[in-house]
Amino acid sequence: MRIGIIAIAFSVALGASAAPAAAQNKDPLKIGVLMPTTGVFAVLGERQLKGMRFAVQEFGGSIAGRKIELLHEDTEGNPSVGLQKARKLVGSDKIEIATGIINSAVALAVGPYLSGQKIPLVLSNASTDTLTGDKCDRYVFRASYSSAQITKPIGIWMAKNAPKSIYLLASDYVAPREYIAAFKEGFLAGGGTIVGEAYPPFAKTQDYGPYLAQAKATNPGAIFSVFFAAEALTFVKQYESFGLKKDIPLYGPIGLTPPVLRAAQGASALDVVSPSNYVAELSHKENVDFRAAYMKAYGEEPEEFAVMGYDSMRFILEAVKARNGETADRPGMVSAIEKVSYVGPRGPMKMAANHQATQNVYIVKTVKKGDSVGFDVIDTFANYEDPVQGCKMQ
Amino acid sequence: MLSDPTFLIEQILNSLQFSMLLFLLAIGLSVVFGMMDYLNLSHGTIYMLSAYLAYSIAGISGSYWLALLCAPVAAALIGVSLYYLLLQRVTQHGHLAQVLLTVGVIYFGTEMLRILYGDLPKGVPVPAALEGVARVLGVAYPKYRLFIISVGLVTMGVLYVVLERTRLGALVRAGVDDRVTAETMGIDIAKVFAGVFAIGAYLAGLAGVIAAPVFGVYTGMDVSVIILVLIVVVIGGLGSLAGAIVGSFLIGFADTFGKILLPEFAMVMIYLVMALALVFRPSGLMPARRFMAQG
Amino acid sequence: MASRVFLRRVIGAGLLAAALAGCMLASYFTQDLIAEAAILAVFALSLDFLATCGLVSFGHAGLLGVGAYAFGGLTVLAGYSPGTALAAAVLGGLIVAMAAGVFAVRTTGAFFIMVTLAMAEMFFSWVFRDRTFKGADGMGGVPRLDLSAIGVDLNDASTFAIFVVLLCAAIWLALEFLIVSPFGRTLDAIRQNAGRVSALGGSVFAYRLAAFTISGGIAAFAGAFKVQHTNFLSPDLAGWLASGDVLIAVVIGGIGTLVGGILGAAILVFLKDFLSSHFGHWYLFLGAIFMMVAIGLPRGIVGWVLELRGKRP
Repeated sequence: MRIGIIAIAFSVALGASAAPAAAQNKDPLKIGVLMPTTGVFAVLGERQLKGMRFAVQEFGGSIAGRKIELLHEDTEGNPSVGLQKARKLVGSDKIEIATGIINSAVALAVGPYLSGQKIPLVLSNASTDTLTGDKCDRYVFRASYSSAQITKPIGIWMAKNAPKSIYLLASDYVAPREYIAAFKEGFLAGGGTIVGEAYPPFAKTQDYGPYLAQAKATNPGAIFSVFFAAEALTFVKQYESFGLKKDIPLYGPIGLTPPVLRAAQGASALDVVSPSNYVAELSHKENVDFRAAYMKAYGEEPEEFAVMGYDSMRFILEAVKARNGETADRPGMVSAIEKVSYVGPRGPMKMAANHQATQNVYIVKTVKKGDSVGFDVIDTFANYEDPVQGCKMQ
Repeated sequence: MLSDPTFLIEQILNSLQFSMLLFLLAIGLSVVFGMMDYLNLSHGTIYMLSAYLAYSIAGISGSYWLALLCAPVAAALIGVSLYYLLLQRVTQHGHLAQVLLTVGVIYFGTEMLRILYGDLPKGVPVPAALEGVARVLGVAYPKYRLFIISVGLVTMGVLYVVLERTRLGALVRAGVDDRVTAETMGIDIAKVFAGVFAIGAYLAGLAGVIAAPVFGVYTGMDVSVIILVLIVVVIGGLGSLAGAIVGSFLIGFADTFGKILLPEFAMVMIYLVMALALVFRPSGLMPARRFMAQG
Repeated sequence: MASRVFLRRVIGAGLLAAALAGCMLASYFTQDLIAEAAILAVFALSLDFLATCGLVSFGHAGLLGVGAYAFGGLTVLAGYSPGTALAAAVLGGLIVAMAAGVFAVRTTGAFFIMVTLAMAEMFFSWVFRDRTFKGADGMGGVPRLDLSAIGVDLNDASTFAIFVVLLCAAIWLALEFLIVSPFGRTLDAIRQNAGRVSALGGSVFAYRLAAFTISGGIAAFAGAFKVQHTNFLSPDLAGWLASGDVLIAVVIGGIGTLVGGILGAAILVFLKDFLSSHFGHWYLFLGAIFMMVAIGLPRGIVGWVLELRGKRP
């Protein structure tokens, strides 16, 4: 047995033979999961894997009598490694469907290959716009979000509800730049002005002091920032330590103050306004039930990444279920995924024509909740379809 | 913008603060490098380890000051154990074996920390006494950053006195400048070296603790500074206190002002400073005597 | 000396035979790994050749990156044929290495390590940000050489693996002859005592620059095949971790032996794959293995074998 390949087989309880007898294929349903479990993205990868396994569990471990097997490979967040692992999954392990992928670089490398092999891929995190824009692909879906789907709404919203002059500060690589571009589109169209912008080098900037002093010197009404993980921790804490927040409020994607950084950021995370497709505080029944069941299964709270992992797997499993376990007809699988629609922890979910999930985008604010920090949902862009242009589906 | 005095003062303080951290990391590396010609890439791992220790100590005891007291000492002990158990074994095997060994230590140490602490970045709160901002020459500046600057300046002073005015300092300088002669005079260089290694690890540990509240604690924090620190050492010249000080200031200021003045070339700036320094002074700006002839 | 050379060549021939057998017989994925190892081996050869004159670079991935980006950029963005792009990539590697070398080879030892690292980081920072090459996201769709004219389809995994293994063997043989040529002997003399060579009237600078330039050309060649293998161009190729990887491959195999770099590359590629698919925190094992090799076999595996051989009467 290969320990590295996490083959999860939740066997169906004896007697629970509710599986439709019509299914012809009784081979295990092999789903390839490309997820970094080493390197900088490991922390997200582990969470998404949990969310995916939870979805499998929710389906009882099998569909139409076919046992669900997740075959995980570590992409290390590196496109060359990711591509190699995808080839391994297809060539040696004979997967039928694939999911996962945290960073866009890996998605851009792996997507075309899997498409060429007619393996449907449901992305669980990689957010670059082109994946559902000019590089959209019949076999590639995204259950998470595109950059523009998240930051265009906050741009529109801020032009109406926030200071009109903004300074932009974002980590210098493709994804944050893309977030900023979509933000500008929404914000400028709404009549806002941008007084300055700076892009600290990614993973090479320890001190944001020089940038914050520079931003302050332009007297902005607010700062809109895009940083993730360790950079978000450092940035938000330093923002607080310079005493800026009371004069210049901070806005930015939820990556600035995600629940996973709560303990580390402490009170410095307060009063940040963010767009997000999920927060734990959503009160609809599907979310409350999901959280209770997840808590029971793992003894820990699911957050955004676990939920997106869950939704990616759910899109796949719903589609397989709709086809009664028949996965050999790949174009049929593709159209089944296109037709999936359900209300999940994030709210109503369905696929848009460009294969990006249409979903609610929430505007949330970090507030004090007891001893800790939590989110208040202050506005909702309901069923917000991906604004990305340029998809010509082949 | 540079004509605005408050802006300029604030950026000078930022530069100083960063220079001090670089200095604390660079001095140990520089002396170890200078004395034994040992390329210890895992120096940053001690820095990272100490930051994690500070996180644990401050978390359990609730006192940052206890962490400041204990974590660097623990770092020194770990550094010395590491030296006797592993690093010392390849002293004679040249830079490459040292690179392989210390990269092994980096991988191993990083993975151990991931197992023990998980992958999430950790935060260490600023101690209550140093919260908030203070006014310096009319500029509101975080008190904690002023504390970092003071720690750096005090360390420079102490090291100067120790290296230039004490017997221990004389031993170290003798070891760096002419090991063979020092050995024939009956000095146990291996012991002096272990002592130097401990002090270097202590200072790296100190840097880890004081950096933790500002820069956060996460796996990979070592790698993101070690390259800068190596550059400081190379620019300053091996084995000398003055070199480490000059190199740290040069890189600290080049980094901060490079980011403001030439944002598109922020990273290039540092490498350019280094390339220029080495073209004109191939063994660094202020190396210990032994290295002056090189190049 | 002759027996050392002979032994090296025996090891090389053995590796070649094993690789070719693997290409023909092993599974698809193993063929993929063999191709990866062969390309890393070419890269390792370029680094080990440079070590002949006593220089060790910690920024060689920068030169690999030059080849990779030249090849990928010219084929994907400018629409040149892979053949033309390959020639341009090698030429680019030679030119960049020569220009960088004018500054770099003035230093030696740890300073050379640092200068090369800094130069590679400059290149990395540029491709990481520059949007021409899609920055950190990288760029897909890099084509492979089209050898259909001679009936060879490089898009087939097995064929590609055999092809790069043969290329690696050819470069290895060429370098084997180069290091025993008068030029190679002078490089070796510089490594042992640069002062004596310059006292005898040789330009140490010129020889080192020549070695660095040739090494750069080979590294760029490896880069052009690296992107053909993955069909993908990304800044990681030129990052310092990649420089570290190839350096580690050379050290594990045995520096200054040429064939050691090939062996080290193969070990590193297969070891990483084995560890990563069998263990969770596999960097722990990788780190421990590096430490053991550094302490137990500081001259590398081939270096150790040659020493054993040397000790026999």
